[in-house]
Amino acid sequence: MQLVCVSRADQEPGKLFAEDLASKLAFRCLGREELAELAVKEGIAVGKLETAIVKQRELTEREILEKEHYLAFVSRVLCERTLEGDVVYHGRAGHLAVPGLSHILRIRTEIDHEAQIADVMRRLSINRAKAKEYVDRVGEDISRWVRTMYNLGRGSFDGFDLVVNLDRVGVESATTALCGYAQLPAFQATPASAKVLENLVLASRARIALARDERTWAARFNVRAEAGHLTVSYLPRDAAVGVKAPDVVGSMDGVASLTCTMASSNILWIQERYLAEGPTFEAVVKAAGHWHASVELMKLVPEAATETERADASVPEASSDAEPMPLYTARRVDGGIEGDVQVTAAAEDEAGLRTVFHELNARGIAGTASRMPADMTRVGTVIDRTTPYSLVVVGDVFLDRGHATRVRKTRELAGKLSDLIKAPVVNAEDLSQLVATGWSYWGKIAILAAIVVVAFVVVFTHQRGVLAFLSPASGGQKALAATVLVVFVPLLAAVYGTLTNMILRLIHVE
Amino acid sequence: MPELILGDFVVLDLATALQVVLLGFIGGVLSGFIGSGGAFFMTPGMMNLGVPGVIAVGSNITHKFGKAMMGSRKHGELGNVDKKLGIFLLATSFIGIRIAVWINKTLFGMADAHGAGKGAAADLYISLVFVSILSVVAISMLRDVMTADKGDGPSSRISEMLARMRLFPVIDFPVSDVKVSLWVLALVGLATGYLAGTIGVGGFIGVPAMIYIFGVPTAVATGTELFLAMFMGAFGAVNYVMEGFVDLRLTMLLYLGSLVGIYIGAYGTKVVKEVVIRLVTSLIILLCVVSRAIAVPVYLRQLGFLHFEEVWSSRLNAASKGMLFIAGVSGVLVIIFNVFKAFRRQAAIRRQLAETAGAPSGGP
Repeated sequence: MQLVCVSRADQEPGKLFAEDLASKLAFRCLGREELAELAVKEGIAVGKLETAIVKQRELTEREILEKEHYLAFVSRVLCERTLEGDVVYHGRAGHLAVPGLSHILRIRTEIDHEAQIADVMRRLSINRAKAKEYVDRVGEDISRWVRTMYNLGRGSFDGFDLVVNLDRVGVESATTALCGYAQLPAFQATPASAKVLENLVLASRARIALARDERTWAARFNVRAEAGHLTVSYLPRDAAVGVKAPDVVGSMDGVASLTCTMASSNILWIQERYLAEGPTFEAVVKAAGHWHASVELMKLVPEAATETERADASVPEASSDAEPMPLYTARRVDGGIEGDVQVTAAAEDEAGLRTVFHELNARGIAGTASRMPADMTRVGTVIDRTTPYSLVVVGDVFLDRGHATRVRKTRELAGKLSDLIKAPVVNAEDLSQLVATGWSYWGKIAILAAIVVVAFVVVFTHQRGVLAFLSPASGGQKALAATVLVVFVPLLAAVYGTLTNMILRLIHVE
Repeated sequence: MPELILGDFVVLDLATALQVVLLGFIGGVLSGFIGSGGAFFMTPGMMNLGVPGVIAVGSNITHKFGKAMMGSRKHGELGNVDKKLGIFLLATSFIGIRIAVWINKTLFGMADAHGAGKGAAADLYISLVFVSILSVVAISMLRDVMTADKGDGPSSRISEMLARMRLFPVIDFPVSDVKVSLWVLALVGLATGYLAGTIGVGGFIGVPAMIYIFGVPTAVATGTELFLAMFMGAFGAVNYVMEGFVDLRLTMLLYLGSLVGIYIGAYGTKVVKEVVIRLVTSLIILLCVVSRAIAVPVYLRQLGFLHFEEVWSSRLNAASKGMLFIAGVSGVLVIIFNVFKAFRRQAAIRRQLAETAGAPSGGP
C-alpha cells in the first residue's frame, strides 16, 4: 500500500523518471493521462474543465459539479489501486487527491528552464521568444489547474519531500538513489493509513454515486467517511435535492451508517479530549447555529501515540520461508496492530468523541469525525483544503505538556492552521466571547443604541446649522467640514452596524 | 421643485424621512443580495423624493463610504481583499471621480456655488448616464440568465481576449491569482471612478469588471470592491462636501435602513439559487432604468427642449417614482419571500435530519 506521487508538470523526463522508479521498486505505475482517459470514459468532461480553468474565469455551477465528480474519481482510482498494491503515480499534484494519507512520498521533478525552451523550439519549430512564452504559459496553466482544483493559494502546494533536478542528475541516477529513500519508515504504510485509504475510497464512491444519479447530480455535496460511517453535507440552497442523498448512498456497500447535514459551511473543532457538555461544547453548538454550519471534529492524537504507530510499522514481518525479495521492495503491512497500542485513557477519549458526535448528530449539525497527529509537520497532509471552513476552534490540546509548552504549541498549531485554512482560528475562550449573549451583551447593545440615538437627535434638532456647516464658503471651513464628515460618518456606520449585527444575531440572521 | 433649505437641501418631514429609510433598507437588501452598493436604486429614489441630483449622488457616496468600511473589514478577515489590485484601481478611480465632480461642478454652473444650473441639466445628465450604462448591464445579465440552462456561464469572449492580452506591463496579483495589463486596469478604474462620481454607482460596474474582464474570483472581487468603495467613498465624500453637496441627514437616514437590509440580503444569497439571484437582479435594474427613462422628458421640458403641459410633468414624475418603488419593493419582497420559504424549509429538513439521526448505529 505504498504510494509515491511524482509531480512532473506534464514534462516527458518526469514521466520517464516515474516509470523507471516504478520498475525498480516493482510498483505499479499510473499516469495522469491514463487517469484522464478513465475519467472521460466515466463521462466526466475533463477537457472542458481544463479549458475553463485555463481561460482564467470563474467556473460555472455545472463546471464546479464536474470538478467535484472528477476529484472524487481521481481519489477513488488512486486509493483503490494503492489498496491493491504499491503505486507510483505521476501527474500534477496527485498527493492532494488523498488528504489525510501521511505516508505518501511526494517528489517533484524539475527540468532546467532553458532546456524546456530548447525542447519546445525543436518540437514546434518556433523562435526562442515564442517558445519561452509557450513554456511560461503552459507552466501557469498547470499551476492554475492545481490551485483551482484543490482550492489553494499560490505557493501553498510546495510541500514536497524531494525535488529532483533531472538535468543535473539524470533519470537513471535519480531513480537509483531514490529507491533507498522510498524504503524509509516515514513512507511505509501503517494500519492507520490503510484505514484512511478505505475511508477515502468509500467517500469518493459515494460522491460519484451522487454525481451519477439523476436525482442528485445537480447539487454540491461534501462527503466524508470514517470507518464505514458516511457524512454527507449539502448547502441550504440545494436542500430540495440534498434530502434525496440518503436514497442514493444509504444502501451502498461499505456504508454502516449515514449522517446527512444541511450546512452553509463547516466549523472545524480540534480537541484532544471531547466532552458533550461544558462551555466549549455549548459555544461550538451556538456558533454552528448562528452560521448554519456543520461541526467537523478532529481529535488531536498526542505524539507518543503516533510514534508507537511508526515504530510498529517498521517491524519486518517474519518470513523465514519467503522467497527472496527483489532488491527494492516495500515492506508489507500487517493489520490489527493499532488496537494493541490503545490504553484505557485513549479508549475513554474515543468514547468522548463518539458521544459528542452523537450529540451533534441529534442537533442536525454533525460533520465528520477524524484524527490528526500532533506532529506539526504532518498537519498539512491531514487537512482537506477543499472543504470550506468558516471557523476553526482549537480547544484543549497538548494536555500532556507543561503549561508554557502547551501555550506555545497551541499557538504554533493555530498559526499553522491559519496558513492552511482561509478561516478565522480561535481558541475556546475567544469562541465563548464571540457567541455570548449574556448581560454584558445586552449592556453593549444599550450603549451602542444610546450613541446612535444621541447622534440622530443632535443632527435632526439642528438641521439648518448642520447643513450650513457642511456647505461652507471659505476654504478653511471646507477643509474642516470635510474632516468632520470623514470622521463622523464611518464612526456612525461602525456603531450602528455593530448594533444591528448584535441584534440580528439574537434571531440567527448572521 | 419642492422647497429647499439653503437652496439645496430638501425639507424632511416624517413621511419623506421614512421613505428615505425605506430606500436605504431596499438598497441594503439589494446590496447584500446582489453584491453591489445599492446606489442604482437609492440615487434615483432620492431624486424622486425631490432631492436635487447632485445632492443625491453626494449623500449616497458618503453613505457608501461608511458601509463599505464595515464590509471591507469583514471580507479582509476572510482573506477576500486583494489590496494590491485595489490600490491599482484606486489610483485611476480617483481620477475618474475628479472628472465626474468637475463635470458636475463646471458644466452645471457651479461658479456661484449653489442654485444655478444644479437643476434640470444636472438631473438630465445623471439620468442619461444612468440609463445608458445600466441598461447594458441589465440586458447582459438577463441574457446570461436565459442561457443558464445550457450550463454555460456569461459570455467570456471579451474576458478571454483581454485576459490573454499581455500588453506590457502586466501586473501580477497573487491574492486574486490573475495577471492583468496595466492599460486594462487603468481603463476599468477610470470608468468605475467616473460612474461612481457621476451616478454613485460603483460596485455594479467594478465587481462584474473584475470577474469577467480580469478573471478574479467572485468572493475576492466583492471584497476588493468594498475595499475600493471605502476609499472612493471617502474621496467622493470629501470632494462633494467641499462643494457643499452632501446632506448628512439623508446619509444617516439611509444607514438606518441599509445596515439592516444588507444582512437580510446577504442571508438570502445562502438560501437562494444563483440563477434566481441573477434573474431578480437584472429585472430590478431594468425597472430602475425604465423609471429613470420616464423622468427624462420632464428634464427636457424644463430645459426647453420639449413642450407639453405641466400636468404631464407631474404624471411622469409620479410614474417614475411609482416604477422605482415597484422595482425596489417587489424585488425586496421576492427576496424576503424566498428567504422566508427557505428558512421554513430548512427548519423542516433540520427537524427531519435530527429525527433520523436518533438511530443508535450512527457515528464513527
